[in-house]
Amino acid sequence: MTLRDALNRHYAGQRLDDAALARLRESANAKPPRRMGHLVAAALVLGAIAWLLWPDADRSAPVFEEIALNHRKSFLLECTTDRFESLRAGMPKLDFAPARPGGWTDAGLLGARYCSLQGSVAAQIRVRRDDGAILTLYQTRDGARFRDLKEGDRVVDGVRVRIWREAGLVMGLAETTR
Amino acid sequence: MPEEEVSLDEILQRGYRYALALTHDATRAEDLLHDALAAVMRRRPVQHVGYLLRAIRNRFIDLYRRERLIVLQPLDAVGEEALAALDAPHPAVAADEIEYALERLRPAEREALYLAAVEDYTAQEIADLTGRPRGTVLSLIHRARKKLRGFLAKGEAR
Repeated sequence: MTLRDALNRHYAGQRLDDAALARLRESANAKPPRRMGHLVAAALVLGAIAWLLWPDADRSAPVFEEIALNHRKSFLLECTTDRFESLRAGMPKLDFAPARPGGWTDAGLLGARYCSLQGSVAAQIRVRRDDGAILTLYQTRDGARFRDLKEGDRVVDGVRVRIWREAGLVMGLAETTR
Repeated sequence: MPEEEVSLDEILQRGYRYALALTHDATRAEDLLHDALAAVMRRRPVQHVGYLLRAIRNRFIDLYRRERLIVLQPLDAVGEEALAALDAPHPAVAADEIEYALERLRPAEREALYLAAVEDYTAQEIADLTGRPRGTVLSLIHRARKKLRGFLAKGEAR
């Protein structure tokens, strides 16, 4: 036995399970946008100009979509707690302190894990509502990358997402509607 | 770096293991692979392992900050013997022992060791992927191997 053998054996045992592999295979088999050279380049330039000049451009959609997508993924809790105050200590790698949203109590809090929102480190907090529904609450530090984010409610692929700002954080609450 | 033709499933499994070498956490590794795949697919289909590994590495840096992969301590000057030493005889180790020992390495060390031992990359190929000088890569492998042997010798997982 060599160290190379031991490492190969260790990593050979680390495999995506069938369900995860199927999900990723589906993503990988999705067709990327077709390339049409100059037409695409021209469209991009025009699009960028419109984006900059059009005050009502929807720059919030990617955030709503990312929250909806993350809500649908099952995840393991990295910090299990029934108190919002304990999340800070349980997630020391966050660059902000998770906060209990105004009007909320600790009721139903199950815990949280690390995730990301538009490339920012975020907390994905799981809450069980009185009726048994599982909600996910996202919190990340507000900053330049969320400058154009508009607060509000939207339904994305069967997930209702509400985004608001509070205590210097961007918060997003997601629940399945069907 | 020569690119071999392998199946999509094999590319995904190798991407997952590399993500695991960086994060040492199964959930984060799967998320990292998912995010990297989404970024790659915006540009072109995934056909080669190297392309996906680079995307995973970039995403890891975005998510967990560049410092995790910066080499902070001074490195010893070593040569090709760092790679050859991976093939030196070693006593058998239990699965939990190697898991525990790997967890104690820095991500940069675990990454270099993984690419050399499992992906069978040369020092130059690792240098190309990671953007580090070849000498730094060899030193990282040397140090990672020494630390790993030390942890395993102490049997700290027991």
